[in-house]
Amino acid sequence: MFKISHVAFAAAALSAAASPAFAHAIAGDRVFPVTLTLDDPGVADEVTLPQVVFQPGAGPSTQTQFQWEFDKRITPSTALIYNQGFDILTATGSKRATGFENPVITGKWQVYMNAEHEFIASLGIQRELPGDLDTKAIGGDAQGATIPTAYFGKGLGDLPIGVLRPLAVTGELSYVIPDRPVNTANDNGGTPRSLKGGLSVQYSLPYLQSQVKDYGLPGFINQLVPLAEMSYVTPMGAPSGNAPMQLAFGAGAIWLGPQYQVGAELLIPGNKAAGSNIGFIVQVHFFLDDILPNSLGKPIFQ
Amino acid sequence: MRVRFGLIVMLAMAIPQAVWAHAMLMKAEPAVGSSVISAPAQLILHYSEGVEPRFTTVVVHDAVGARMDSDNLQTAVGDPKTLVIGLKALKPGDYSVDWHVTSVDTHKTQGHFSFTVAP
Repeated sequence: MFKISHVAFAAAALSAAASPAFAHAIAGDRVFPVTLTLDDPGVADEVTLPQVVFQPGAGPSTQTQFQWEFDKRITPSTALIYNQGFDILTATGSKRATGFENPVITGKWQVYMNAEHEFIASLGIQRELPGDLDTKAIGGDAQGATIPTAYFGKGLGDLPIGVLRPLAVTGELSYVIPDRPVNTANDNGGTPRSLKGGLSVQYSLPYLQSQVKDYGLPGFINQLVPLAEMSYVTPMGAPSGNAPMQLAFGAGAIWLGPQYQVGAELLIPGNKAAGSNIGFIVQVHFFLDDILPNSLGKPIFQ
Repeated sequence: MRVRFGLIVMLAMAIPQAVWAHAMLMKAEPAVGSSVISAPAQLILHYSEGVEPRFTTVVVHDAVGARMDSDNLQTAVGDPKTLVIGLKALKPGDYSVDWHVTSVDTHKTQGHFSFTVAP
């Protein structure tokens, strides 16, 4: 029989590739859309509702996640972000497991923006709150973690070759400090410290149409941003074989509208620890600073 | 906490209010990156949202940096999403357009592009 605890472990591995959704940012001529599996580099007033992740795991297990996020700017360059989700974990021969994911609260500070070179950098502290037994059953943590994170985004609009100017890269790097680090005997129920990272490569057709050359493409096409994403988690100091490195890729596109965006990607495991089947992620994200510019969409302190 | 978050989101979506956004350039005449046979007398910029011309700048330069617009930016009659600016007599060559726009909800956006006059 395929035990649900094994499924939970697989789910935890797969979840690393599909962390909560995040916000968009603007630097000069560049609009960085909301990437699906990693955070983007800026701060904004926004809501993700919902993000749905479907991941067939290794063996007869399947994980479905319904996630949401609320981003609230405190000042024009700082924000508090709340992420959570509800997961359904199924496996042949086992009882279905359901539960809420660990809530994550992030404090984020956009420390630098260079409009001319389309560059943004931010720093953040994520605080993953402890979960309950249901959270643990779906692959979450009974303990919490603190996660210092650095973010960047760079548009390539300053390249001399026109067709390459719509390209942009964004990334993040995090160090996960669990409340209860695993001990050398691996018998204290802890989790290892880990290094998490993500990278996206984007090609903005809105940028192509409005900054480089208007090819007269249909309006829907002109608002697409095809992109590829990569995310990984590398445990550090874990007992041998306890927690292997996980690598995953995403490939898809984002439709970037004036008040909201819709994104969809295939989720492709990059190594055995990240699973063996292709999943997908779909996200609907609303820009509150555009929808409600005079209330929820503006910083609390200007 | 979860209930409170849901209420905030529902309230936010339910508040009846005009929908505004960052003004994005949707179309330009002459077109972005285009080559035109005859020199245009004006530059027309179509945005996704209404713009505030008093807090908006559009500047056209030739290849040596000389300013070639007539500094008479205005919105099109009855169309706050469209900006019109006159151009001086353009000779064959490359021209750059730099725009900084403030939308009616005060969001700022910017961009630049070029076009060519090649009879």
